[in-house]
Amino acid sequence: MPAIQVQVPPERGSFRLDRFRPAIHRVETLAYNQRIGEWLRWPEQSNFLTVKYGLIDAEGALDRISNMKRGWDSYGAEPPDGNAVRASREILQELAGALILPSTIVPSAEGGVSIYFMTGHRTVYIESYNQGSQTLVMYDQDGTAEVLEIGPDISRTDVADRILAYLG
Amino acid sequence: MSWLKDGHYDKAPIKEAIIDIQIESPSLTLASVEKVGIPPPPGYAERKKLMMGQFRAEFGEGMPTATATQDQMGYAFVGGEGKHVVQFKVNGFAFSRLAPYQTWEQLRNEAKALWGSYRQIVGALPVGRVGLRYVNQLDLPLPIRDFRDFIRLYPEISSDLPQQLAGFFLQVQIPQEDLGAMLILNEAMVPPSSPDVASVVLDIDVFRQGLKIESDDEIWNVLEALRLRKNLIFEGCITNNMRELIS
Repeated sequence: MPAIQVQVPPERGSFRLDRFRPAIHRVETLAYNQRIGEWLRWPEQSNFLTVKYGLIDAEGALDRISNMKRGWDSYGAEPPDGNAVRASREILQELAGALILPSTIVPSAEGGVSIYFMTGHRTVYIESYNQGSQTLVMYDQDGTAEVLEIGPDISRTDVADRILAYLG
Repeated sequence: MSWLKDGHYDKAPIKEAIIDIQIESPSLTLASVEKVGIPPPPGYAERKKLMMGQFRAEFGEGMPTATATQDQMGYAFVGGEGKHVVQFKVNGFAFSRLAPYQTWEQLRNEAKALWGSYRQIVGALPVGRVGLRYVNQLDLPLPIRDFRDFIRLYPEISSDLPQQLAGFFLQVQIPQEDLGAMLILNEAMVPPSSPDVASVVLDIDVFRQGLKIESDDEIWNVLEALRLRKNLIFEGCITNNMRELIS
């Protein structure tokens, strides 16, 4: 029987358990992820589980990019700070409520976090900047683009509908 | 069963209920369906499958990236204020009710109406597989002395091993011979819904396959039987402490 290596996730938050410590992140071993993957691709696909595990992975991506160092792009870019990560997490939670999961999460060269949603010829991304603002950018392969600042131009509660309308 | 009021728990931990009907030997292809076009059922809006694909992060050298996989087997529509998701696929139909769960009757009736729309489009019979899946999230109050205080299906950890648990995933497959059905029960620890609980997903999937159902009525008769079995299975997985929490 092959040895099982379990990566224990770091303790987070102030709460303590006497015996059980809930996993915050997916336990990243090949066998475990394979089993979870099979579970998520079950014939009757569960939207709840897809979103739940999608958010776990998104949280993992946010954790990792928040630990990047200054100059991560070799051009002196600032790493995403706590404000950008927090704002990204909040918008991800909100979009997950509308069953929208990101395609890609990357650090922004402008200093912040970019969350991408892509389909066919169209792309949407939400950029959360370190200084606190957030923009919604929509563009297609023909070069047509629209940029809205979340707050002044579009309320956060309308972002999900706007993304769905744009990506079709 | 005295904990149950009118056949359901007041704080039922159901996060999603899914009715799945698969067609035997589907002759349809996505291309042929696209030619006809599938209009959204009344009260539903079209949603690309991409939006519900699986997100996967990749962490190699350099910049972390993530991708979403896409199932191109059909169309998904969202309705019921975002709580209903129906999938019209080339090989079948699936209807999901997300939390808050209401009643079996509401789930079944909505699914029946949508199945009617699907049948009008694809004219699809016979049915080869009928399944019912309930995804529950049990929030166990901390501190926990023992899983056994709340659930009756759990991983037994040898007393010779460290007792700190960061997570688990457990699957059992139990034939339901009297129904000609199969139960696949998945249980996993998931991120807690609040800091004062440990959350465990109890995913009950009970289905019949290898069928050749020619009538719609028979589909719903099979589902009624699966639903009763699902209730017994759920009851068999929890303790009175858990019943108190969800009553």
